[in-house]
Amino acid sequence: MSIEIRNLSFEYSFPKTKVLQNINLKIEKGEVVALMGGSGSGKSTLIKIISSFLKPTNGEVFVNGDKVVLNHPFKSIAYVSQSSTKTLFPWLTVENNIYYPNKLRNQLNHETKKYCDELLKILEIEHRRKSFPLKLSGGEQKRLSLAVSLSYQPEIILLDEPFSGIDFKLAEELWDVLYLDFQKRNPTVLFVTHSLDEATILADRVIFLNNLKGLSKTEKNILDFEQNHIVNNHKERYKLLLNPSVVNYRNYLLENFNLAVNE
Amino acid sequence: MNKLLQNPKSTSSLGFILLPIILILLCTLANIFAPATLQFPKPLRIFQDLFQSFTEQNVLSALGNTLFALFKAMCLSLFFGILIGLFLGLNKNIWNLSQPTIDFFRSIPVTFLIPAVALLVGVTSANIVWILATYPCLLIIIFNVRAGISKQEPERVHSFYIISGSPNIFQRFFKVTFYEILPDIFSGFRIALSYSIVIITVLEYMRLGNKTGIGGLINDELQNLNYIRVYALTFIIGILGFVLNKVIEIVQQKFAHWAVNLD
Repeated sequence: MSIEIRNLSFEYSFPKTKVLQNINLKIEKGEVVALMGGSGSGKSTLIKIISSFLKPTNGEVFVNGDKVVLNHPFKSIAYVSQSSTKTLFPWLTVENNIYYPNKLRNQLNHETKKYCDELLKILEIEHRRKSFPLKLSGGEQKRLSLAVSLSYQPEIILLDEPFSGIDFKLAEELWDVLYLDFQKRNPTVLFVTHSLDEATILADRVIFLNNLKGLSKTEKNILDFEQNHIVNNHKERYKLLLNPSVVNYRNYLLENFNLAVNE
Repeated sequence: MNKLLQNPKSTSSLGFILLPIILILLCTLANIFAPATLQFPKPLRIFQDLFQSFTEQNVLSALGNTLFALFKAMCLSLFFGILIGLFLGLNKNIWNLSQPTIDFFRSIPVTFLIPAVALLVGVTSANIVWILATYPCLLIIIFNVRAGISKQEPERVHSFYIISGSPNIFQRFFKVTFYEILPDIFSGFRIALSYSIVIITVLEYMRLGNKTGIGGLINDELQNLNYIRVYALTFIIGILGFVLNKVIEIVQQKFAHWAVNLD
């Protein structure tokens, strides 16, 4: 499933603030794209527009060729918000939150349940399956949000700072979970991040967003060619960050980031 | 001790034990120090009379009448309050249109308009007690349901659209909106219940309606200068309010547990 954004602009009405201006972007099927930029550059707004939560002031968004209409999200899309407490259902247990998407889609069967149970195990929240989301810690809530978004195996995944507010060790483990899922199912992914490491390790392509100048794109991620043999271990993969070619790539990202923020 | 006081359950249990002790202490002090003209009986005699009154037919029948009036007032105000609250809150245009009227009623204490309602329905009706008690409770529940809708988390609603893969508004109402407003319905219900008990007792005391409730019985005993019974009946009203409030609190903990400690 591809995502295409044409001449997109967005302005918040109250208070009147221009956030996005004339954005054009195409994300191909199966591509993992990191979206970076300074605070207030419109990264989250762009993700919300693609997920149909906000209506663009101008321009259009197409998912797999179909125009996105407000509050009519594409059927096979997942969205993880910055704030997990806002998107989880506090009246359902952890277990039921994960089963919920498949239940609503009439797809809850032995196989999907098994897949959800595996996610609970991988994300290490199985011991909290009978707890309610508001009783979980911030990190557990983040993991639950990710589990919910992966539970119905969506073809497009939108992640808005999925690792913000959690410790580095846990973030590393979550990279693994996501990375393996991306490799296994080949979904189209757009994720917002402030971490160059995250962008370097997870993304095929990094895009820098500047609300005045639009988008600047980086070249294909160098790691993409080298990580096939080490996909199962984030520690191994993380060692790659010390590799000279990767260090160069990371510096290149940093330069782009500075350009986008300072312009 | 600090930890004990920070736990809502502990403070509630502590209140359950401490309040009767404080009450007995105050009664004893009043009995010792109050001027003889106040005719304040000994607490022991009040409590003896309180227990004895539960075996008397006229007290039980009055309690039954008060409870029945309370039940009718609460059922009616809950049913119509939720319906009207939803009607005034779910649609944005109706919300905006109804806002000035709601602001007007919110600015006036709900009990202030009881005389106006009495003028409309007349004071000779046999059912006047619960009709008059319904009006303020209805307003409280309408305000709360509307407030619940306004507090609904937009990201959660959107998250529901995404995970269900459908923007069905009926499904959204029963699976999200209903749960979002449930804590506010309970809060409104508890406030309305307290109002209701006071209003019904006062109206009964004023001899409105044709059935004798606890308020009417207090009036009778006051005419007979039976002060011990007057205090015992007043305690019954307090116990009634406390027990009913506790029952709703338990039901709320069961069905709206996620919001109980967040109020």
